[in-house]
Parts: sequence; C-alpha cells; structure tokens
Amino acid sequence: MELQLNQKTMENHSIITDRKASAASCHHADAGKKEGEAKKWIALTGQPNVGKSLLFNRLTGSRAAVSNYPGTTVAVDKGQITLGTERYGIWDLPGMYSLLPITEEERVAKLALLEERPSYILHVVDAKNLTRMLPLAMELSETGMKVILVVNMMDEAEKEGIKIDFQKLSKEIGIPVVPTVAVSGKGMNQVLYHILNYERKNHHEVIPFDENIESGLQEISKILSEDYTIHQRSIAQLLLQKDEDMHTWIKEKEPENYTHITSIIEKTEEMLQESLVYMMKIKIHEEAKRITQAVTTIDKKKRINIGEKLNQLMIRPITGVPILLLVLYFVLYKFVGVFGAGTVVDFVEGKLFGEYINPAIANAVENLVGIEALQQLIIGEYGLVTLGLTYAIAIILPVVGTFFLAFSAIEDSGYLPRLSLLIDRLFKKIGLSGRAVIPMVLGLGCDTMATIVTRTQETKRERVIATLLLALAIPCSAQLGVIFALLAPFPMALLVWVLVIFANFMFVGFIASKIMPGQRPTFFMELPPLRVPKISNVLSKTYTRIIWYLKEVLPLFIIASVVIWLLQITGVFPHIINGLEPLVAGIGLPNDTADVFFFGFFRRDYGAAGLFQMQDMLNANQLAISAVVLTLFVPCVAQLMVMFKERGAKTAIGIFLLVLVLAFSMGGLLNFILNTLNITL
Amino acid sequence: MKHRCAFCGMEFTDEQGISACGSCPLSNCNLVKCPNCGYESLPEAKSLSFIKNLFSKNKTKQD
Repeated sequence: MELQLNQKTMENHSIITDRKASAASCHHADAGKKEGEAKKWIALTGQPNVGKSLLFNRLTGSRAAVSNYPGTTVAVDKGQITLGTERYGIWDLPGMYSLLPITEEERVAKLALLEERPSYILHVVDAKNLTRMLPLAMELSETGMKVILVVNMMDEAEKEGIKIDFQKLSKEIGIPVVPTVAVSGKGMNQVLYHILNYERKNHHEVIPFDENIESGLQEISKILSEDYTIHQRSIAQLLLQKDEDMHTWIKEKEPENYTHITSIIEKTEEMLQESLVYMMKIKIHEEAKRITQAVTTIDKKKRINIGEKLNQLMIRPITGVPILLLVLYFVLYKFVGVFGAGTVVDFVEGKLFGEYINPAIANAVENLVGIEALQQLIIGEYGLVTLGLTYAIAIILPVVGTFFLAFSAIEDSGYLPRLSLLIDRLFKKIGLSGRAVIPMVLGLGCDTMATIVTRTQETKRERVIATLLLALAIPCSAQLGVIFALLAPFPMALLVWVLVIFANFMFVGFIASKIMPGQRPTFFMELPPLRVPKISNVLSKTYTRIIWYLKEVLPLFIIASVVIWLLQITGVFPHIINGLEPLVAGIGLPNDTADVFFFGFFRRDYGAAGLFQMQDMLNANQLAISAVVLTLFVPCVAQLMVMFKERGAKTAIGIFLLVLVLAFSMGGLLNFILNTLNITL
Repeated sequence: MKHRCAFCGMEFTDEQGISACGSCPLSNCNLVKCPNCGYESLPEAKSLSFIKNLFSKNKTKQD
C-alpha cells in the first residue's frame, strides 16, 4: 500500500509551477511509484486531535503504510482508495496550525501541499471550535487548491447545542463544506461525493486585510510573473509573513523581482504600528471569529459550556484579577505557605529530623568519627547533615513538593496562557508582553532556568528587562513558600512584603522600559482549551519535578555545606559575615541574619531555609524586612553565571549591582518608615 | 516521544523540543522546550517510566 515518494531532499525543494515545471515535477513525483499505484492523491490536513486519522482509517479501511517524508524524520501515513475507476493515494499529513510553520512537522505538511500537488485536500476541523479552526481553512481556501472543508465531530457539537449553517459557511469561505462524524462514519459518502464532483467558485478572497496590507498583497501579486500552483495572493501572504521557504523559492524562481518584492514588504511593514505577522494573524482570527458567529447558532439551554464561560472570566481584567488573587491565596498562601512550609515542614523538620534522624546521626558520628574537624563537617553548625541535608530534605522538599503539586495542577488546567492574556496589558507598561509570563512563571520554579528562557522574548529590550525583573523580584518556589510560612502569622507583614515586591517589580520595569530604547512588544497566542486537571498527569509531573529538584538541590546543598565548612575552618567565614553585619544592622536586623544573606547567594532557597530556622529570633517587622531584602537580594551564583552568559558581562554586572543596592535600600527604607511611624506589623 | 506543551498546547517531538540546558552551568536536566512558545518542561523521570512500563507489562501478562 505504500506510495513511493520522490527522493528529493528538503534542501532541494522548489515551488512547482504549472507552466514550466509541472511536467518535470510530475515525472519526478511519479518516478518512484510502483506500477499500479495511484497517480492522483488526496491530502488530509488539520490541527492535531480533530479526528483526521479516524477519517483516514474510514477512507482507507485502516490499511496504512508509514514512511518518512523525504529528507526528514517526519512520518506520513499513506493509504489508497478507489473512486469510480480511479485510484487515489491518501496521505494523512502531520497536524498543522497554519501555513506559516513553526515545527518541522508543520513544515512537512506545508511542503507536501505546495510541492507534491494533491488533487484534493480534505481539511478536517473540529465543529466545536470553529473560531480556532477556521484560520487555516481560510489560508488553504486562498491558495486556490481543491479544498473540501470537513467539519468533523458534529455529534459532540450537537450535544453542546451548536448548529452550523453549512451553506453559509461554504459561501463565506469559498469551498465545499461537509459535516461528518468520523467515529461513526457519518458523512463519509458526502466527502466522496464532493471529491468526485468537486466544485468551487473562482478564486475567492476570504481574508479582507487592512488597506496597507491589501495594497502590499496586490503589488506583490502583480509582480509575480510565473504561473504557480497556488494563487499569487496566497504566495504574497506568505512572503509578507516572512515564510522562509517561500522567500527561498521566489528568490530562486524570480531573482529579477525578488529585490522589488522585499522592498514592498519593508514599505508595508513601515506603515504598520505592529509587525506584519502580528497584524495579519490578528486579522485572520478576527475574520474567523466573524464567520463563526455568522454561521453558528448556539442553543444556550442545551449548551452548558462551563469551559468557555470560565475562559472569558479568566481573561477579562474585572473578573480575571479576582480569580488570580484567589489562585494566589489558596494555592500559594494556603497550600504551599501554610500547609507545605508550615504543617509539613514542622512535622518533617521538627519531628522526623529534629527528634529522630539528626540526633541518631549525631550520636553515631560522635561515636565513630574521632577527628573533631570531621565531626564538624558532618554534624557541626553548618554540617552536611545539620545544614545541607536538613535544609534540602526537611525544609525545602516539603515546600517545593507542595508547590510542584499545585503548579502541575494549574499547568494541566490550561490556566497559564489565560494568565498571559490577562496581564499582557499590565506587562506592556513595563516594556514586556504577556509572553513574559513564561519566564516569570518558570522563575517561581527556578530563576536560573527562567533566565535562559528569556531568550524567547521577541526583542533584546524585553530580554534585558525580563532578566532584570527575574533577578530582582521573582522569588523561587522554596523562597516563596518559606516567606509565606514565616509571614502567615502576621498578615500585615505579609501584605507589606507583597506591596513592596510588587511596587519594585512595576517601578523598576517601568523605569527600565523608559530608559531602554525599543519597539512596543506585540503578543498573540492561540488559547488551548481549559480542562479539569488529570490526576495521573499532575502526579506524574509533580514526581518528575521533585526528582529533578532533588538531583539539582542535594549536591549543591552538600557542596555549599562543604564550602562553608572550609571557610569556617580556614577562618574566612567569620570575616565575610563580619563584613555583612553592618549592612544587616543598618536595616534593623540582628547580626545573625548576615548568615542568611550569605547562604542566599549560594542558592535563594538555601537562604530562605536559613531564615526559616531563625524565625524565633525575629519580630514581625524584622521578618517583613528580611523577607523583602531576601527576595530582592542578589541572584544566586548559578543565576548570575547565566546572566553573564545570556546578557553579557556589562549588563549582568549592572543588574547585579542595581539589585544589591535596591535590596538593602528597600530594607533600610522599610525599617525607617516602620520605626519613624512607630508601626508594629 | 511526543510532547504536548503545557502552556500553549502545541504538539511536538523530542527532536523539536530543544534542550534548554546547554548554557546552564549547573544542571543537566534535559528540559524540553516548546518550539512555539518557549515554555519548558521536564521529560518524564526515568524511574517513573520504569514503573509505568512495569505496570503495563504486568497488565499485558494478566490480559
């Protein structure tokens, strides 16, 4: 059943033209086919999880062969079907979201459509999510190819009270539309009928772009002098959106026109406030939304779509902010802070380690190890067991464990992308966009990893601002949990900490965005559906994260203990602490807290654990001040090294010094205000 | 192995999920990065895969 593909590699792809290259291409495409195999073929396209493979099985009788697309590792399922007297090959192409590919799979799907010239395209969409599905359907329709829109999962849509006017949809989108239920086979005959009796109007311009973009499209379309298998307007759209393959093809095909085309693209972009890709994507989605609303009616009595309602509530500021505050209160404060860092740590550190494990190890070491220095290394004040193991297992593990459990549930629910949209507007005031939610959220897990992720920000300006804010005001999960646990008995102290950190985040971000030149960032993303978190997923992710954290944290805590032990026996440690003492005294903290800040430089969570053990020595005001300074305090060694590597020495040193000065200044200012106004938190 | 981005829902393969640990000086945790939005996630722990395989083998034997 396998269709032999031509053997050309991805590097050698060139767009197929009707007039000049079709003969060569047909020869090429057929050259590898076995005798008796189909010459015409049907492409199955669509986003993942729309029932494409079910449709493929229905059409081919599940007789599929899998082979990689030439020059790639991407697998394509192939089968055959006889329609009338002709045999057709059917290829189940990899899932794709747009003709503008991001992954290799999407690129293969696009290349197969543009290069291998399917006789028909069955584009499968989920009837329940037309708004998300139509953009690609519209792009395909604009290519002018023989596309049939297969609106699948109609049974599920009907259950939700969704009714679609298929004739109207066909008219709007310019291609035949067939409703199906691939699971039961309903609508398959209609699909076959439309293949055999294909009818589409002349080329239909589905997407009405803004005036400037339309003008650019028309100019480019007019310049393209070759005859292509897809419509010039469609090629122009891909060129404007800077599709690399299309640019390579046109540069090869029409070198004499290419420079002119690029100048039109530049000119068009200059006339827009946002990037071309962004503006075009927004327009396509607006049009998809309009068409969906025009062709769909929803029986509200029948449709109780809680997901959609929740979705709207989460992304609208008026309801989204209270939901965010509720999530923060219950998840971070109640679950991680009060339960994880309070109840669980009390039990593990106080009972298990305090009463059983540490005394037993201390007893064994005292009896078995004769050398006092070695005893100090293992069970001394900063020993491997008393400090390293206790901090890592008894204090940090329960905190990050509860955080990872809660975070995995939030992640699995699909809330994070909604959070991005919610705070996009707020982030734009500090030179970032909703995209920056990714490093900020990951920073709660580990700021070092999150600093690397700032690479995903669109501009250098965004990358630097995100790096600065991560170093300054984003505490890691362990630090956050410990701070919540420490401040939980003093709600006013907790409120002060939240306000100071938030004010610093916004103020520093705002000033940085004003000082650093650059364009206003743009942000656009498709929202995946909301869902109830799967327990198996949540547990699996939590377990994986805990294993990762232990692998990372245990060796470092042990190394830190050894380094501190070495510094102590060589007499260096007291000097460092003595050097820090005036600083901590200046912000109203006892001298002993100097240890905490020194530990914090090794790892943020190490410092947090130190503060946790010192809580009985501090009053509410001192707890609030130390929590503020520890949160704003310089990034740990690992994060600093990544900052050097990612942002360069000059920026990294600048951020380091700024953060150091800000942390102690804020601590000093807070101490001054509390003392002057005689406030006890 | 296929991944589904926990942030944007994009499906991608191992090869496409660029390891993000290249420039991290301390860890070798082989994070998998979504090619669409850059969100990073951990590949399933080996011990967890081992347990899952164990259970699936037992189940197959029972079947």
